[in-house]
Amino acid sequence: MDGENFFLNTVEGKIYAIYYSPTGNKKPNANVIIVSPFAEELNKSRKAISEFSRACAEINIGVLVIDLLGTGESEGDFRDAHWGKWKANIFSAYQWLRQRDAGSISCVGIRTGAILLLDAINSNDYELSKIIFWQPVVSGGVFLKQFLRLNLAADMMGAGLGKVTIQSLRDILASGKNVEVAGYELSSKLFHELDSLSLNNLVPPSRTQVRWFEIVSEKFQDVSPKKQQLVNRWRKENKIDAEIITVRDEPFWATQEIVVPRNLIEITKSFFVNDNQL
Amino acid sequence: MESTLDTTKSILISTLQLTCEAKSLTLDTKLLGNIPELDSMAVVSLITAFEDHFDFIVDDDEISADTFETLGALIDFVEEKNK
Repeated sequence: MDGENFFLNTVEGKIYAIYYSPTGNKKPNANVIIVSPFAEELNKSRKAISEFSRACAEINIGVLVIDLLGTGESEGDFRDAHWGKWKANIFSAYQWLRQRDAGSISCVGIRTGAILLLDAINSNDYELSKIIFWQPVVSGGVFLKQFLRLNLAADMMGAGLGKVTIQSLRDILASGKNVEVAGYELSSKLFHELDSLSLNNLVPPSRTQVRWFEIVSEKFQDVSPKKQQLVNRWRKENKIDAEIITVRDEPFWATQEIVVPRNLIEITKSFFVNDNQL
Repeated sequence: MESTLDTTKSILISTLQLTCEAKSLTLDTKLLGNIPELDSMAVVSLITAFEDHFDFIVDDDEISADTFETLGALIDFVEEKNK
């Protein structure tokens, strides 16, 4: 049994969704909403998302995957996408599951999806059981700098004529114009919204378990001190049951070839299985 | 503490998913134009991987095609950033 796909009607437009029902179409014990990463990272993550969804179906967990407006099969162009619409998309997905009497709802935020998820939760009325992060992006600004760098690299390799700099791209965006990066037309609005956001300024809701899965390689197994400090702060100051868990796996969102992070999927799945509160 | 050479090599191999052995890479190994996996997307992934691993931030005026010409040039760059 594979996912059932449909369009979810929202105020902002039609968004493409896939719902993976538990195997045998049983009533799910719990449900998960996937909050996608940004631009090309989403394409690299699709296989990981579908494999994770199938793994969840086997343990009686339903998974709802949505394409945010302006991405994938959903309505709209990437240049029209902005943060507010995306937050509304996530809330629409949440309401869709709530209307199905779906039991507890959890979310998995992948890369910038982690920032989007926390920002969305803080802007609306959610009741979530668990929040899971897969290699979350901490700073939207640093992430965008890395994203804009794609144009620099293209220029460096001879595709461009003039000397492109991050600052020259930022100047264009600051003037309200869009910039095309690796085939994605990044709007000034979306850029500035994400640029100002960081997990450092967001706090997960209380009474929600937060598990931050950080991919490590065989050689490097340390979590950066800054990330550890952030989670420690959530625990101490905000009294949140939050934890960073390292997983030895491939950086699936960035690899040249598509890879499926089997260990990450298994460990995330066991986090659901080992929980009797579902 | 392993050397910058070893670390740079292993980041290069894991980021580009190269199948070659670390010992086959020397300071003179040509990177740009020689390793087909090293396209613009990969250059960005590499810089990001260095930033994540070494916890430094690379400014755009610090990098050019020269930085990625050979493994030796790349290591010089990483060592300079780590000072």
